Amino acid sequence: MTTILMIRTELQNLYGRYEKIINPLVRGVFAFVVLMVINAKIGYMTRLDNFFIVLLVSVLCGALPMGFTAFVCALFSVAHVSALSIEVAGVWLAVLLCMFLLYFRLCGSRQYVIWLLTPLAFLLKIPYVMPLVVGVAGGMGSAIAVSLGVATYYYVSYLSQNASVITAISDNNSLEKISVAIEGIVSNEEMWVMTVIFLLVGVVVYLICKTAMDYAWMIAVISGALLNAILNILAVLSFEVEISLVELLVGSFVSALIAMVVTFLLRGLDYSRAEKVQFEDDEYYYYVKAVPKMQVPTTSRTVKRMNSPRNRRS
Amino acid sequence: MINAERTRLMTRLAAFEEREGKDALEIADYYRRDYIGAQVLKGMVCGTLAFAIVLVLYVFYNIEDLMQAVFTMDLMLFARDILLVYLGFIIVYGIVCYLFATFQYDRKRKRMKGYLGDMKELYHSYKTPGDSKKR
Repeated sequence: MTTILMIRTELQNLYGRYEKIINPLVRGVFAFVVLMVINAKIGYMTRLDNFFIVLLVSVLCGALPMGFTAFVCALFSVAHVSALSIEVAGVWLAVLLCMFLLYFRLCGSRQYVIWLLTPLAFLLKIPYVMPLVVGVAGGMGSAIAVSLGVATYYYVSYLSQNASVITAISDNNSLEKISVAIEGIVSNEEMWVMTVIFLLVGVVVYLICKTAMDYAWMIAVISGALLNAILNILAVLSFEVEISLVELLVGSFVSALIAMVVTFLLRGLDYSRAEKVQFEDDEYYYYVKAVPKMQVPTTSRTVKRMNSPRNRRS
Repeated sequence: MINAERTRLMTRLAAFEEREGKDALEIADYYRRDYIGAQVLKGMVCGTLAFAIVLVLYVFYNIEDLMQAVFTMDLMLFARDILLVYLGFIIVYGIVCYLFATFQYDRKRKRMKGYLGDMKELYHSYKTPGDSKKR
């Protein structure tokens, strides 16, 4: 525990010192990873599926705000899908536009990160970590960003699975191509069910975390993981959802562990020193519970000079 | 000679501007009602655009059925149904935008309070006699 806290303090100090370098570096690396994944998953446009182009764009993303990374990723995905079929790309662009107009327009850049991270978590086989971490560390709105990320992952997967079907349709039959693309939204039961489950888990974790009880974040993560497992099992039994039970249980467990470590690093509250105070003014009664953060001083070497520079000169 | 108090205030003000950006500062230009009204209006325009996109996708998806039924269906009734769905959607989305804008305004205003306090303190520090010498 103490080691983790020391690492956290060291990381905070390091970040504070090199913030100006770390921020663009992290943005650039993140953009690079997301773009490489897009290329691997739906890299139909061979011109864009190029390491150096991705590297160049990532450097640009590192220098610009997070919204630009999201824009570039959306642009990449639309360009790749357009190589598959221009009609399908139109549908995908319409979906992205709806997401932006109804949700992302309202929120800050953090929501873009969550949106892009969710499909990555699916590829790393730990998707359940997203609603747990976001419920504890983010706000209610972040749960919506996670569910949009889930929808994006399932829709892109649908497109890559049906790529051969789409290319098999003749170019004159545009309506059928559009129909196949929209079918991936309307009849994709798994996508809708998982989107709702992730949204529910995120909101429940957030609500539990906001309660005043001790170890609320830990209880929130555990109940979120349990709720997630139960809802997924119900989804398998009631809808056309295919999930391996072992993958679900192991995934939920690992996600809960990761979420706990992340939350501990972010919060790390010391409930043994919690204080409850009560006071009043003319208008309100105040019931305040103050929980201090765990702090561990890091070892710092100081060199003490016994003789001043003036003495040395003389 | 450097005025330490002014330097501290100006650093804090600059840090706030850097951190919060113009997002929080734009609040200062609006009354609460005006800001929320503008946000709801923006939301309604965007909601209408999104609805139009979804409607186009719906038409494309059901184009064969619609083409077959176009001569037999009551077009006025169809248009009325679409209008009702649109109104229902835009009212719900408008309420969401209203709640979001209210929450955002109150949160940003609270953050702005400290900023404006520092700004006032800085302003008064230039007004107090004898300060010009320190500068």
